[in-house]
Amino acid sequence: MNIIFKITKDMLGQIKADLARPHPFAFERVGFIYVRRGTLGEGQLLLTASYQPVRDEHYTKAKAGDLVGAIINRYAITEAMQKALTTGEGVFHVHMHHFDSFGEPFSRVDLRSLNELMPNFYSVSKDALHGAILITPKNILGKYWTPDRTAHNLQMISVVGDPAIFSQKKRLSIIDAERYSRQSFLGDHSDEIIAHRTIGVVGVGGGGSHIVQQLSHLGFKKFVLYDPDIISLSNLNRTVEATEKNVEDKTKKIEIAGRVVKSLHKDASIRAIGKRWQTEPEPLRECDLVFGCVDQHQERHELEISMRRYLIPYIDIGLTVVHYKPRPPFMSGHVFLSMPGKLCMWCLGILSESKVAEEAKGYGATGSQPQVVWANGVLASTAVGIAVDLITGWTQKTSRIAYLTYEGNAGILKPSTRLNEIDLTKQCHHHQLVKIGDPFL
Amino acid sequence: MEFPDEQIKELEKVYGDVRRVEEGGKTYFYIPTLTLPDGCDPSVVEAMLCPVERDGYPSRLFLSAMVKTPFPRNWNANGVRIMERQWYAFSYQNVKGTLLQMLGAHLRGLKENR
Repeated sequence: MNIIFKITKDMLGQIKADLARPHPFAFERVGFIYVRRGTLGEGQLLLTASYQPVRDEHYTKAKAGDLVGAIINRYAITEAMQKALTTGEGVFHVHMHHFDSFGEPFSRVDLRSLNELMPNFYSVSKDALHGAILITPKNILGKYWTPDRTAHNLQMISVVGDPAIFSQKKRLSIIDAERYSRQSFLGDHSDEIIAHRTIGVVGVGGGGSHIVQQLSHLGFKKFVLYDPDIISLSNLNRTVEATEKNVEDKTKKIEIAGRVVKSLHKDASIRAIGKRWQTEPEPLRECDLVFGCVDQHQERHELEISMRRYLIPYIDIGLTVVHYKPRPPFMSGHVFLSMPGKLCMWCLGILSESKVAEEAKGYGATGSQPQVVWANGVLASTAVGIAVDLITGWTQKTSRIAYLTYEGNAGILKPSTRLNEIDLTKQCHHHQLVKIGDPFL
Repeated sequence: MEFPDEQIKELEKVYGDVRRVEEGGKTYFYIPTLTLPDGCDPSVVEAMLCPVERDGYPSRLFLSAMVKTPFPRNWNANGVRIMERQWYAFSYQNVKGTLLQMLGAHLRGLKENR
């Protein structure tokens, strides 16, 4: 079963800060992480919704000879059980080691106590998975227990933030290292990190076709692609790698995008879905990052909601050309990184009631929106740059708010002026972390 | 947005297990079983009442299926995604009032000849 544990970088930071606090007598602190479920095709996401420290008075003093850093009493465990009972969430015990191990990171004492602890959680929340997380200076590791008291290693732990951290790594061959030697400045093992990430692209027309092409050159080879359309003559002005023959053959856009990936990676893993993403959204949830290249505000709103729900960074690009004669046509666009837990498209005014209402009024109106290849290319390239930085951390930026606006007539791409107008430290109230995961209806 | 308890209780009294949910900064009231006016097919659906401004409407009623109505309706919300499911709504403007009044007005909109 594919189990992916996810936590935001901010939440991890809060947990580390709490666990690092000295206790009056215990040698270390512990806490409980509460996770909500996200359904995958085969497996599930464990999405960190909240954290509860163990109160000072709920630690007990160790007896002489006890080889433990902290002992917590039944009140601490009952509190965690109570929360699991009322919310149906999974409980993950968390503690920190100040050293990294080469072998099994959980000590024998850890494993024995956790084996005893887990049945308590299963007794109150049977359908959730429960387990333990261990934070070390260089890593974050975890296990989950099945109800039969068997422990399994969490194969994938993803820290969602800027830059993202992934616990899963695998060596590639030397040939691949040579292939990516010109981009080695992206960091040690960046080729491995890139090769193992799954990227979703919703809409592989004007903007999305550039994104897929560039990501493939960079070494990404695991994709989930969505587009319900077949290529048409009016798409040839901007869809990368589309041909006149494709128009004659009525080729699906996802097939063209898939062909681009396969031409660079014979071993690529591509899920090409020729439908609207809403009709089959589960594959998107397995992505580490999703690009939205959609025309409608309503659709980008729905994508952002879904990506926030499953703790997936989402990069939205959009291009508009308006023409109020006798003035020349005016071209504008945006690139925005929507990071779970941070300000969203509503917070920053990319989406607003008036924009969505205006769009709804014209719903179903025929006519195509103007689009051009160079502007699509500028926005797509910028989005790819943000994604690579997010995944490799090569610029060492942290906690950026990437909202860039494009003034097409002037050929200028710059941080949105809206960033100067709002309080960037405020919390997003549109997407609350506690409401992540599969909705309960 | 806050809604008076009495309005929620009034809705629950008629429609039973009503659940308030929030998503994307909007409030919705989920109604698991909503019987539609005569002449609608299907006659029973799930519904999601959005009693706050959305898509240029002061309130909207989303249904779990696009309904065949006695008179044609403009279903301009077709497969809208709320709580990870697809929903359908027809264009019906200026519905305001208490939660129950809003729901009643939207239901009347399904059958009236406009």
